[in-house]
Amino acid sequence: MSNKKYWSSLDELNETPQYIEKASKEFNYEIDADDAGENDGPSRRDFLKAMGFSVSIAALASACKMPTHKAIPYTFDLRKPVPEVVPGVADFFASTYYEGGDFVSILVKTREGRPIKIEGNSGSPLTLGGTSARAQASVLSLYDVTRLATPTKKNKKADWKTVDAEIMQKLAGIATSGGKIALVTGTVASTITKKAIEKFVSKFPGTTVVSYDAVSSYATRKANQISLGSPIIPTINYDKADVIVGFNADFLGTGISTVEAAKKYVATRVPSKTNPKMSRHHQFQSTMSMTGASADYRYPVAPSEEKQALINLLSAVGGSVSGVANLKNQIANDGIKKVAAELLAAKGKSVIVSGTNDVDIQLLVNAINGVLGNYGSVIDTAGAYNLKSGNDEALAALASDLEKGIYKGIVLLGSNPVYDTPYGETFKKAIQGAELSVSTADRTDESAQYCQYVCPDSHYLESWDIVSPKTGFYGFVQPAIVNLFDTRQAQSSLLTWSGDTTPIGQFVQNEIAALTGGNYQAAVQTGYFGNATSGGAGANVGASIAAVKTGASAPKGMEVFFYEKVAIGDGKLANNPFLQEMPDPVAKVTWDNYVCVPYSFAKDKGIDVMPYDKKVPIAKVVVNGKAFELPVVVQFGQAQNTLAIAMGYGRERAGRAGSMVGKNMFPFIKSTNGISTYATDGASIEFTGATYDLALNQTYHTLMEDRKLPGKKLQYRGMVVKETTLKDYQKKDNAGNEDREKIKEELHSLYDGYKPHDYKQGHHWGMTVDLNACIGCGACVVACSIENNVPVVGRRQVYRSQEMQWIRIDRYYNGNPDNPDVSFQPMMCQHCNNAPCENVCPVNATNHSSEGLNQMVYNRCIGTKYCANNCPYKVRRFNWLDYQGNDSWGKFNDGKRSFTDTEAQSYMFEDLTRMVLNPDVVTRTRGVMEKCSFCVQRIQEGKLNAKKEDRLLQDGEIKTACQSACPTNAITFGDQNNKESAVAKTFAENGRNYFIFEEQHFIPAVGYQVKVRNKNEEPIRGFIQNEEPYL
Amino acid sequence: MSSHFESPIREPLILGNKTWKDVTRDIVKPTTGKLQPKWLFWTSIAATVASFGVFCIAWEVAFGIGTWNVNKTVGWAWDITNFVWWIGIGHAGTLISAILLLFRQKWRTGVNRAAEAMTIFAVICAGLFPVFHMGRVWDAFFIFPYPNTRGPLWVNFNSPLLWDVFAISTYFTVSILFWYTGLVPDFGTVRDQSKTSGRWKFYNFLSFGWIGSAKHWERWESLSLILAGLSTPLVLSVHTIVSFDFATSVIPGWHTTIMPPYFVAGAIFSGFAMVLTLMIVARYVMNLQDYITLAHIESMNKIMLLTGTMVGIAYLTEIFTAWYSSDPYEMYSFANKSQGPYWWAYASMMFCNLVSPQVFWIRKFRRNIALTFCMSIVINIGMWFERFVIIVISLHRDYLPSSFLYYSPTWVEVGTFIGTIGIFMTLFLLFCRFFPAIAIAEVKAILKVSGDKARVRQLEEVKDEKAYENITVTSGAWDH
Repeated sequence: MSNKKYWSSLDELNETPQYIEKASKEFNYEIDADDAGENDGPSRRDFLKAMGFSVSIAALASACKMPTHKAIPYTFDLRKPVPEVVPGVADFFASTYYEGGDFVSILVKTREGRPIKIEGNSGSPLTLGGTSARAQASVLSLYDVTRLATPTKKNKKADWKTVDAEIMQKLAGIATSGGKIALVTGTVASTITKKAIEKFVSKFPGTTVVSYDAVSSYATRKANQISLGSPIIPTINYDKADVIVGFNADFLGTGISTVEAAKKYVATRVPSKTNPKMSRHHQFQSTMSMTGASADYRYPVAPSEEKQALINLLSAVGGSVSGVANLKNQIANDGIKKVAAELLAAKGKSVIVSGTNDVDIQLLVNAINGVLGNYGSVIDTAGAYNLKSGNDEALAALASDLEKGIYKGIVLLGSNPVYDTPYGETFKKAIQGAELSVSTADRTDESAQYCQYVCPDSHYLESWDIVSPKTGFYGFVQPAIVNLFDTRQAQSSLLTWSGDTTPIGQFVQNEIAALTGGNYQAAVQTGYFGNATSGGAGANVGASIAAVKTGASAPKGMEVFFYEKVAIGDGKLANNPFLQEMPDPVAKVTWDNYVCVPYSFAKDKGIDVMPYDKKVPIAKVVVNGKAFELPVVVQFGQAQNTLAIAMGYGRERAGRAGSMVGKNMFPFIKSTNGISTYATDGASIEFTGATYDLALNQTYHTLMEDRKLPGKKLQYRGMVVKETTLKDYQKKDNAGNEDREKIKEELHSLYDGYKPHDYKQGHHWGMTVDLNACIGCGACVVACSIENNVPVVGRRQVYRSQEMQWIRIDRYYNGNPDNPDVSFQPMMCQHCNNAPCENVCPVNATNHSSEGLNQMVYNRCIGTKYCANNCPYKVRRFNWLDYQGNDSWGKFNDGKRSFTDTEAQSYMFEDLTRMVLNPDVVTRTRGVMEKCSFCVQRIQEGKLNAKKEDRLLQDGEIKTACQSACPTNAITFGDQNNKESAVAKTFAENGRNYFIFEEQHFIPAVGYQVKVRNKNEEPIRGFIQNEEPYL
Repeated sequence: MSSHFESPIREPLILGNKTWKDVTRDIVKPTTGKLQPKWLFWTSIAATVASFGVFCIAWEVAFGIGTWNVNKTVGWAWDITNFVWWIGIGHAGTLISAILLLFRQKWRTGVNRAAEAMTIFAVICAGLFPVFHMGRVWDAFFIFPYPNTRGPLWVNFNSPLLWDVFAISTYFTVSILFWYTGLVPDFGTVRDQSKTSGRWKFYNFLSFGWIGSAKHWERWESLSLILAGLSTPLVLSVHTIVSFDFATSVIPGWHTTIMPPYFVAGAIFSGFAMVLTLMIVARYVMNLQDYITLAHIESMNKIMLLTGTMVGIAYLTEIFTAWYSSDPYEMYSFANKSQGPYWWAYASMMFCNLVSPQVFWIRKFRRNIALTFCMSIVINIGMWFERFVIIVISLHRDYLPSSFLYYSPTWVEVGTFIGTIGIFMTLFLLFCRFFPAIAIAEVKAILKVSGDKARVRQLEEVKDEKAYENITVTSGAWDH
């Protein structure tokens, strides 16, 4: 080793003291923490400081700018400071859903400022927490991409300032020249709209206000004007009636305030051991309606026979009427006699209702109710509805005036007369020819497309309003989110044009103070005010039937009955894909309207009455000399010689989901003496020979055990729907359910080592479904889809049976196919404790929780579909395509492609629409299985709340989405381990409780309660008169 | 291998007075000769069809299972039908190699090589379906119980689908080993016939440098026997386990204990039908009439008659069981099979599988090549329908009438199936061109016992002993 030394500097070589000192330090340079910036100008750090400050100030400033008089997004109380948004915690706003005849008090669930779900407002004395499918689906309409984002002028984007200025200038011009303005609106149940219209009319006195309903109840009001002296629609207290007789009245599905009606109706329709009573419901109907499906007895009557039937009934109950003549229809004829006897036995505790828009018929109904003394007891004339207050005669008069061209200005206040009146062409021409035409539609709809100006209305979840469904009761509407687009409430527009610039929120606040019982504070908190129950005023029905013209002429050709579907109604909500995909409760068809033909007619024509491949014939129907083609659906229980077609379809400019779905029937609505008549005769039908791929949800309509099996008697083993009669139920509470004893006795495992799941610790979730309470309305189906981010798949996919809904309502017929009994059966995952799906999954993606839930692990699922095959209830749903735009393979399916015949019509691809997704529930990717989870996210939330408050979980605290949406409380969820819970009690004590396929030992956690019909005859199993077995 | 005494009145299994050299020349010829335009033509057609199948699979993976018409009630349809069909076809090879070996059926030597190749190609086609019927095929590795960091997250050993994974992969592995082992000495033979160095190297590599020493033969025979012993239970187990997919479920029409024997019999049935389809064509195209004789065809027809009738008995037993069970769902399931919307599928199955093979009771028909060829096609169609009946008809109407649905395939499903036929044919044509299609060594082994010359010699021997003086040989095969 050499002693050579390498040096780097002379200092080092000489080992100077400076060098030694320096070398002894590890870091031999000065560190000055503060030097940055002092010498070199602004440093990186300073820059960030300044940036951070200015950005946060800007954010704060812009966030604070939100004027509280426009919306109160995160508060319940204006005087208190705006509370912090707690991420992950939902806020609820009490509000009101109203549309046409619907009125539902609701709570809007918002998460991080986004409305994501509608819940029933259980405080409301009117709807008692019930909801409808339309109310549930309405939240999606908020995020409808078809909505206009700005006002438009001649279908081009404009701004409010210009549009307002021009409209006001033109209005003033018309007013000064003494021209007339037509203000066309739907039913005005809103106090605010009423006020705004008043102001508008006082500013422009030449204004004619015409309010109409696409599907009208005007005849009822007119008849009541004659019978009772005022044009009201009274409240019917179905809960006080022992006998309910409906004549084409779909009061549970599409009538006035259906949720309220359903609540009342079901109150006396569910017998229990302690109170084994129920009302009896007869329904005379032209086609099988949802309400008719719940009836104990049904009598098919053609629309032309209804009046004669009522005359006969009036005479049979002791009213004096001329023109009594036997009906050719023997079932109805016998029915009248039977019903009359029952009505007479229940005087003052019965009710006759008719949904037919015919003054004569309504007069007869009033007369019968009068004779029976039902006014005051069941029919409450003091509780008069403001819903469906449109005037057919005014509409007809307006149409003829428009023809004459006397209106210079036309203002469409949310109405769409080009589409939903029989005078579409007249309106179109009038709008095009008017000096000023304005629409407040939220989209460029059929009428708005011809208007000069469209001033888009805000969605009701962005609006302030007071709605009065009936005299003295008010629903409060408050925004749950600020306007998504540059829209303005229609009332606000009217007020602006009238010169009133009060902000609408302030206007509403002022208005509340002026109303009886109005307290702004309370209204904001509760969502309603006023009195919903009146003393129950009676009425004296005079000899009003003098006006009734008897001796109707025989119908020519086939009769056509136009009806509304439970989901789509009059077509205003046509662009809501949830409603389009909700199966019709009775026909189980989605995404279309169609011609319903009676069973016997179909048999004669050789039409397959149960088209297993969903290919139905297309028919050419000629009504009033106009022809159209529609698919044909065989409707069991439809009146002979009658065709039934739903209105509300055939929208041309509704949006992606709603346009070009079905055919529009409004042009075929006849006006008889100015009153719209939703039935006509002289129609003919002829089959084109082509077939149509119908998006049918259920292809097989009767029950398997009802089939004649070779050499076997019908047996009760393994019944899916169990039913009994009230008479039998009163004798013993397990009537119709007797086989269950034997099943329980015989149940044992052949395998010694079989150990059932042990739930002694903690919870064991269960559910009960009361078949008597279920009216088939479908609110649960829509609620479940929204709560659980279940995608809508579109018509083609439903046709291919690839729909996704987690809960469905199975509908079965039995009895005479021309007039069958109907059963509804909600069907969701049964959470079997011995689940066939669980043991077949090769990767353990579906397994059992310690609380009895059958759970899906989406991330583990590889999509073999074996579990779905092995599910006896067929409740598992597979993500066939990419429905949510979250495919790990990229957006192969962007929802717009159509070069495959398998395109997914997805409605969850737009960022805006995706705002409705529930952040508590993960969206599923293509290729994984999913199914009902018993709303596990709600279970977790409930358990956490109880834990945080250090208390036991209360029964009823956790409600599944289907349960909370149900207007009839048919579904109950709870803990089987809690012996005091409703579910545990039903399982243990209710003789009506049974489990589907109990003998197969799947041990489901969902119990169904035997359907009790208030009938004198024993239930008939299967289709009688049915020569060939339905295979 | 087989050198025990054979009755001289048995039909010879190798015709045409072959010497060992003839055997080598005849069988190796197709692999060494020039490429035939005919072969190129058919191979390109098969490859085109195969590519279409690949396209259909790619389409399905890209867009999702929604490109198929399987639905909320019928979760399996053409996919699993095709899977079971191909797996069934894949049973003949191993049965011929292993079980017939144990039963000392010497006639198997003429057909076993091609049958085994067919087995392997059929299993490849079969395997595609369970893989690509997965909604998320990119996660297919989840079905293997591999050590992982997720817990570890294990597979579900209760699931018959998992048993399938093991059963089929085992079967495939053993089959391919068995097949290749048989090929090793024959590759040596082909190598020795090769005239170019490239070909020589290629076959030398494939034959692992086989030189035909006594030690090689001894080891080769031991390995063949061991693999035969391993394969024998597999023939029975694979389709038994496939049948468990259905038997262990709760669906009426699936949940029945008859499934395993029923499936195994059906598999052998369809496997032999497919062997016949291919062999009848191959013996003409490749001039192998002397090696695949009428005697072979007749023997296989007998097996088809037996297994077809077994399958038929299973069909009838199922109907009886359904009636005897008194279970409304079970009864309905079978009433629906024969009278429901898919009656035509059930009728086709009954006719093709139960009725039509009964013609083979008659010897004339058993030895009629044209009829046999048609029957082999009919039976394969029938066996496809059998799987369709079991899977789709049972599923489409099971328990809840509300969920009764119909199913018909999309072009993607049909295309995938046709594509697998293309894949199968492509592989088979490649096999015929590059591999000796008949087991040369095994045929040579029986030449001295069961060949033409051997029979004459044997007959003379017994004549000499004056024991069978009155015997006249009348078999038509002698005139060949």
